[in-house]
Amino acid sequence: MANTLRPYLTAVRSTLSAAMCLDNFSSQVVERHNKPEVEARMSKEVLLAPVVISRNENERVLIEASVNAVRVSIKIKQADDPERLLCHKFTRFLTQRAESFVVLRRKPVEGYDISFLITNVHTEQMYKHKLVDFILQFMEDVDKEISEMKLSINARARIVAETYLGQFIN
Amino acid sequence: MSTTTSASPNSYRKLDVDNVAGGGGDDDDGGFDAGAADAAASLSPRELEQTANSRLGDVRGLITRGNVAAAIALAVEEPLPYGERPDLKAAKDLAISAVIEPLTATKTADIPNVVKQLHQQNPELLDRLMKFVYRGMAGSGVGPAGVVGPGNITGVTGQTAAALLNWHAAIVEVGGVGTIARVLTDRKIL
Repeated sequence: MANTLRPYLTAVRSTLSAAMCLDNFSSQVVERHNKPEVEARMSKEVLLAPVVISRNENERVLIEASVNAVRVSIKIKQADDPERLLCHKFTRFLTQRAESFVVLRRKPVEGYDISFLITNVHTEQMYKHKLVDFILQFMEDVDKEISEMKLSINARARIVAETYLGQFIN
Repeated sequence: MSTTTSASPNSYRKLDVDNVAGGGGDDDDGGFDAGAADAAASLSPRELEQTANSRLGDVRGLITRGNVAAAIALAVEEPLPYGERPDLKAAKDLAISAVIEPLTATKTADIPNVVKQLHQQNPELLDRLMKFVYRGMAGSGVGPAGVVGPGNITGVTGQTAAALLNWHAAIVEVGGVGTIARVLTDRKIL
């Protein structure tokens, strides 16, 4: 499966760079408000077509762009129950600290595990290519992180079982 | 939908201009649907389905003869069933599979050459092809406008997705990021 990771990430990278073309844009409906249009969905002419990039049935990225914000939602690979549990715990840990991650959305979009909301403020304060790098880095790391945690859980469970059952031998 | 005449002087504020401008008015999409102005809109869903069906046969013929570039060029030819109307679904499914079949039938090594051929033929073909690549990755059970809800996820298999990702990379190589931007901004949603 490692051979599809590269094209997958390349596709996400080019799509994100195309979608992250953001500008300051005040709400057309409410005066003196400035909301991310992709969340407010008040005027549809500023929303762009949402696109999905998928690697297989269980891994995909949804990119919804608008004039002043882009929402990136990631579905992380979850093959079995421990991975599902770890993924849930991990994303929960992150989203509870969403304000320290700046671009993280507090709640994932339905059907996805974790969402980012990048607004024009973020692209003005940070480099656009670094923001794209951050998302890509996250996608790479989260798989690694979860498989590592799964391994260490298995190792720990084995040691616990050995110690526990060992006392019955002597 | 929209009421164009009203006694109140401020009624124009509530007027959904998109509906008026779109001229369609028969869908709930608010005028940004399926370019009501172009040729495809004048065809009925029935006609579009027939076009897509006969085209699928021709495309398959071209694939068996090994002419993938011609098959793709034919498959992305207008008229295509754009828009979110539910009665277009059958035509849309046929049109999408007519494009996805040649894409998955191509050998990975041939992809860059085919893309170059298509680009020389007509650069617009790449934009339309890219739209289908994204649509294909969204999976078959996707609702209108590529919205993936929890109820309708079927997803694409790893093999199809891998082929489409290769195509995506090859198209970006030739057409640049602009092809993606044109897919994002196009109102003619598949």
